[in-house]
Amino acid sequence: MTKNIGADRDMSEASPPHLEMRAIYKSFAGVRALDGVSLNVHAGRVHALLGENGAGKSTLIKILAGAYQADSGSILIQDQEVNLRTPQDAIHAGVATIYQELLMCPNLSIAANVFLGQEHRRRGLLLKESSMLDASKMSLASLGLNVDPRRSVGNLPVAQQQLVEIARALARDSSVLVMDEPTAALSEPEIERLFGVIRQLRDEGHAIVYISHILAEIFAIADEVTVMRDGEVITTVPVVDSTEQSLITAMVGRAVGTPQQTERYATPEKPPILAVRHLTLKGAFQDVSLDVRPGEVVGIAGIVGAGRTELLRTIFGLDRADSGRIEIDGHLVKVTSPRVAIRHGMAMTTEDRQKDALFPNFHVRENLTIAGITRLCRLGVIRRPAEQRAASEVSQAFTIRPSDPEQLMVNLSGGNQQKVTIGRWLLTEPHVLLLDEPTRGVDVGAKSEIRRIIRERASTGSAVLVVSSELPELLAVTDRLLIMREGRIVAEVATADTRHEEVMAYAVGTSSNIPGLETP
Amino acid sequence: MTSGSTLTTEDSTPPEVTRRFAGVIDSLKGRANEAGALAALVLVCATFAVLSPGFRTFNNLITVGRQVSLLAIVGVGMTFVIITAGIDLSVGSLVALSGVVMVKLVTEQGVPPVPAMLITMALLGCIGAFVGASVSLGGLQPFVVTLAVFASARGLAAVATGGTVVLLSNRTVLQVGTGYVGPVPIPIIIAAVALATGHIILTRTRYGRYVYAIGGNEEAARVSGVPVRRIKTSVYVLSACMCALAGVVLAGRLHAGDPLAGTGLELNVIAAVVIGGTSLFGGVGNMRGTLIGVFIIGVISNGLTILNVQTFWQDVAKGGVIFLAMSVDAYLRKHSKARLA
Repeated sequence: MTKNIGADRDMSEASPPHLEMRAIYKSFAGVRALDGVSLNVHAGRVHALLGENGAGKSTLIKILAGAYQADSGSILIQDQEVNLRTPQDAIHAGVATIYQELLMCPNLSIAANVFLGQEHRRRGLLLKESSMLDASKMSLASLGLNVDPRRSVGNLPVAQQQLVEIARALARDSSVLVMDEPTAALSEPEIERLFGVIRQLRDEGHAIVYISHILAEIFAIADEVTVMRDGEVITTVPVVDSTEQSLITAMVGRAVGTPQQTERYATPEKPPILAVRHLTLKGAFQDVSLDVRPGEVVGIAGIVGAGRTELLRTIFGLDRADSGRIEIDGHLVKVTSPRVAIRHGMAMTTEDRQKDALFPNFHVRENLTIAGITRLCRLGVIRRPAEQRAASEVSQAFTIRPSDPEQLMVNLSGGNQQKVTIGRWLLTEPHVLLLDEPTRGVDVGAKSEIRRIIRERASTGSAVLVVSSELPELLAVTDRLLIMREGRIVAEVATADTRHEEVMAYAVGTSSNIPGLETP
Repeated sequence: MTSGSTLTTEDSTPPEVTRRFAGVIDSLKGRANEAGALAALVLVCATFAVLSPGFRTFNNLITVGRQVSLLAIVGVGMTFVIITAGIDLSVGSLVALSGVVMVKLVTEQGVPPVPAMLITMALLGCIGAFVGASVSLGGLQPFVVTLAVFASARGLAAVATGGTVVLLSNRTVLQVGTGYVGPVPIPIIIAAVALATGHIILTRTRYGRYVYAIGGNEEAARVSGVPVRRIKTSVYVLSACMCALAGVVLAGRLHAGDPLAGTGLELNVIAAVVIGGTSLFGGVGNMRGTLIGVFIIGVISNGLTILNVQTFWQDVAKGGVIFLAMSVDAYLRKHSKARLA
């Protein structure tokens, strides 16, 4: 069996690629996301796409799915150039994308979801329920799922929903299947079953693009692997010719583009301002303990889904912990809401700027003063001149552009919007800063400014806790790093004597201690 | 440090075109919400002024003013509610209930007018607090909660009176509905004070800022330390208290507490507030717009009545104007957004 497949693969190597993406460029608001990416995927092969968060994987597959438009470059399927302007175009071209968040109607039946948009109809009018039920039942059975197709999708476990989505892709005669971190929500045996399905589809001649940053999975399922970093393809190699170490090295790169480490302040031997003890939020993180001392910047590294965001949210009172304690300046604090957190000198910026931080209806001034407005009031009436002065001061201190606080937020770039969300906390004079992805989606210049701001806050004696998926960012700005995996802190290292590869190894859990990574 | 600051000036400025137009669009957008409404008001007034000499008199202006004062008083509370992205369908019923309560307290219980007024307000405030708590703590949809109160409050008013009207003889209360200060009817003064106070609260106070913040982005407001639940509850209390005030004024004008008073008021008030540029999605709106909105509604009714147009046709015309004003608004909004994006 395995030999047979091997022979097939050798044959397809010689044949032209089934899917070809040529020199794809894409920028968002001046920030380059893809820098001339080319990708060849053969029929009957599983092609893995590997890279850190922000490497450009998602952007690339969204272009392939018709969700984004490339600025330039071309896509060919079976040597035919295709123009994918909408998700419908992609479906017609035979590209099916299965995202992490499944796109189905949970209220509709399995059969209705499988045939959504291409229902079997009698005289083009009435639905042929029975024929759709039979067809979907057969299709799912071939994927190893035996369920009543009349059940609604919302009641199925995620693993089975995924199979329904695959069945839908097959019902649409898709020849290219793109799977974006399909195992993120699956258990061990479910992953095994999914891999079985993927191998089956591969043997039937589908071209499969498999996205993950879990190395073990790539070795288990993929034939080729393309490693991306900073919007470029670093290498494309057969999986058999690569090792975990070579892939990690390709992913993180050598010092290329790594920000210079800022001047370190010797970690002061003062008692911690923020102390977290045995904090647990079920389903997110367990038994987390950490200290942050005045003047210290502590980073939390880990892959998406490790529980980092939830940890920050819980410390700030946005989510309620199931158990554990939070201490500020040695005093136990019951953080029941962000208001309580703010009263105890905490401040937080959230991961999703647009959703959780910005007020689109407010000017920059009002966005800057909302958290500390009470200090600018007399008997509940806002003192206009004081507010204007405060907004101008923050705007200048953080070099927000345009500098006039009477601008609407839409006139600011992502980086400046982010500076506004951090800057609004200047007014409350916090001692503890919780920053979730402070440099996500901002340009290089703003990144370095935000790093400077973080160090500045620490140098005035604040304790800073930073979550970031961009490891070079954390290495540049922190004094100490905590690495989270699957809801637990698995390692703690001093930033000054640690290396990128080491942190990645902890975060993806290849092994707690990879031989060969010890010495540079 | 220095390298950082030089970098941002370069790549953080918005594209040339956007920057050039930003100022113009800003000033347009700031007023755009009311611009459509103001244009509609001028147009409607001009039309009636040409068609009917009776419309153009000072006396008629006072008449219109008195007719819209009720809308305006209730509209002040409604503006707060809608800016938080809520809605209050119960206002018409609450106006009826408060009128009945007030008249019964004064005529049957012999309570002096001022304490009676305070008791009525407190009672209505409790109903508002119930609505607000259901929305902010219970997570119920404001549409559904206030729809329930819309039904129950009018029912309670009818139960209290046995389905008939209770007559009002207290002179002070009658004065509130029909009296004058100089040439100006008292209801107009009450409405003007309410609008002015509402305007100051919205634009000058922390409370007003929080109301806009919640409507603009509730989650961001929570993260920023805004007491979201408290503020959301309070706007429904405010709306109910304004209904109490309006109910007393209306009872004074009708010489009675009538369980059928204020029928259909909620739709006129919501229409007036929305025509005035307050967005049903929350975060946007002001009292100037509400003032213009109530006048549009009032002038249409008044003008068509003077022209002897059947009331049924008045409703049709009102619907048409609402649609027109909202279309202009949507057009302006889409236009400015497209340019900014």
